[in-house]
Amino acid sequence: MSSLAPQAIVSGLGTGGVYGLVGAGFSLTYRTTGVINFAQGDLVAVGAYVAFWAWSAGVPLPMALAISAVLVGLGMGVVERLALRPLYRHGTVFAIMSTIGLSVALQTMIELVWGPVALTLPRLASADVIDVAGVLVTPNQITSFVVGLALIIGLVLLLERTRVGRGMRTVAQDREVAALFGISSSRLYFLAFLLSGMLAAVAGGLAGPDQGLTPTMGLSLGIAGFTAAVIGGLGNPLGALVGGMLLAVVESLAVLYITPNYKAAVAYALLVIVLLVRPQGLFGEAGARARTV
Amino acid sequence: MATFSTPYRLSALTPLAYPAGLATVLIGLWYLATPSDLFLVTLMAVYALAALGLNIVLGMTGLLSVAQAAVMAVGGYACALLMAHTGVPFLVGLLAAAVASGVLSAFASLAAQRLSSHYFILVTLGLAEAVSLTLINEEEVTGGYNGFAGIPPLTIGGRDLSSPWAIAVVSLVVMFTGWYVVNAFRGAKIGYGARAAGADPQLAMASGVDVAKLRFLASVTGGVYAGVAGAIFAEALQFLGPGDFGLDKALLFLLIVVIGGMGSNAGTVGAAVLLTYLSQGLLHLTTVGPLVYGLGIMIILVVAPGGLASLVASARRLLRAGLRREVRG
Repeated sequence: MSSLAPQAIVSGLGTGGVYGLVGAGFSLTYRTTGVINFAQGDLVAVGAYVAFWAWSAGVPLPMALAISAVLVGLGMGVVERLALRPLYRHGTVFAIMSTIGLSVALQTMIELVWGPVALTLPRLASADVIDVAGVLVTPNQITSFVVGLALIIGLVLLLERTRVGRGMRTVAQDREVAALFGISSSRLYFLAFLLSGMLAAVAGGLAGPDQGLTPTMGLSLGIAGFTAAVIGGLGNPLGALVGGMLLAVVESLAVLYITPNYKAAVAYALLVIVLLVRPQGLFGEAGARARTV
Repeated sequence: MATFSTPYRLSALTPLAYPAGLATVLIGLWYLATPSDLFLVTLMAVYALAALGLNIVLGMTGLLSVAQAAVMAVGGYACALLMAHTGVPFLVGLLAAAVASGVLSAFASLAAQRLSSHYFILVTLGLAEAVSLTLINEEEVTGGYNGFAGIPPLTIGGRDLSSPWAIAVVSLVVMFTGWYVVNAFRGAKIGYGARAAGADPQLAMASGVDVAKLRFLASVTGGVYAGVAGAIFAEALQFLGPGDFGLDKALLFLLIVVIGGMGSNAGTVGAAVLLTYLSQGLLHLTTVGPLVYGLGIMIILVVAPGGLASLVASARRLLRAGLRREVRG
């Protein structure tokens, strides 16, 4: 092949859509509540497994993804009520620790229910390679990207155009002032976690077929999603999508040109470089916020 | 930012309490312990030391680090590799471990210096994974997945200290010394500054505290503690592998600090003993173990966010109130 770069970019589309969804979920909860959800990757895994469960019960695959999104979203909402909300007043560190506990618990739960052996979830669209002007692409990659893009645009519209979205952005900026204007932060925190759970579940359904369903599949996806969110600027869902695509492309180029051994390090290296050079991310506007003590 | 340092503070231990406590533990071990107990005690002391270091960073200055296990790994490998390849005595290896880990922590701190403290966790996450990938992939130096086994036995001044009993004594002595030092540091002016920086960075800055400098110092000190812990760990196991220093170990240290009650050193040591014991039993013996562990963390946080230190403090308050009532009645 004469030039690998266009191929790498196109291959990055599908993976980028998945990373973007995970990243958008991270972004949403981090920006709204200040809590870094360490269980985000595990929610992705749970989403994939629940979709598998629904699909093997005879539900058509797109429907199975939707069911998984609703269940995982509600589940995360309930967890927020029970295990995170009592902790906000002690400082975000406590809530973050609680999500670490959740991550351990979810991984074990998956292993207890579905076993440690990898399961296979079918793809939404076929993985037959199509040759478009010399660049190879599969319908499944395009589907993943389109689903990611559609959901993220939906999230942006929710944040920018609706009352609830305005409330979320207000709470993110200043919780006390928002309370003075009669905006209940606790309802919006609940909603942020619910939505991020839904996004994670869909990401799991999209990533499951290529990755294989294992109890620990969430770890690498969670970190990739987080890197995507930081690259794009935390709090900016569209940025997370672009960041996810960028990460996917850099990863595949690194595997091609450097060494596959350090594939996982690419995300971290990119993360640290972005944090050092442009901590507000590529599209973040809150530069001052990133740099304050 | 919210207040990290807990209001729960056990009254400061007098300097004499440390040798007394150490002596009690040692006498207890002499009469009661089997070799496997001695290994567990060594592990408790090592983890307590690493967690005390993390408590400086998290409990005092309020920075959340997930790199403590990786920093400990760098100390352990530095000591082991240096001893194995150049034949230097253990104390030199220990010094090298302290320096290597301190430098690594300093690097993380400098990288995070320009960022909000929320981003520190990301920098440390990157650092931890970079260390773990290096340990796995640089097989010629570290032994990769198979680990590194050719660690010379522990000797100090020509005396052979490689028996389980001797290593337990060494680890306990070092841990109690570290505990004393960090408590002394805590009550000094620099310790007040660090805690002020943790409680409210803006207010601390406005009061003339050099927050950046104290965060840097705390990171380096915490790193040195982890490095020393890593060197003793290497000697106790006579083996080092990347699996001993994964993210799960870093999370264990975080949990020790939080469950002990952030900022409380006595609580940290107590939680290290408890959680090391639990993690050895719960996590390795059953499949349900981790589930209990994970849910347990969440429940403890919700029920007693101040950790062991707050439980002891409120028990003491209750006891005192009860006594007063009796005197009056």
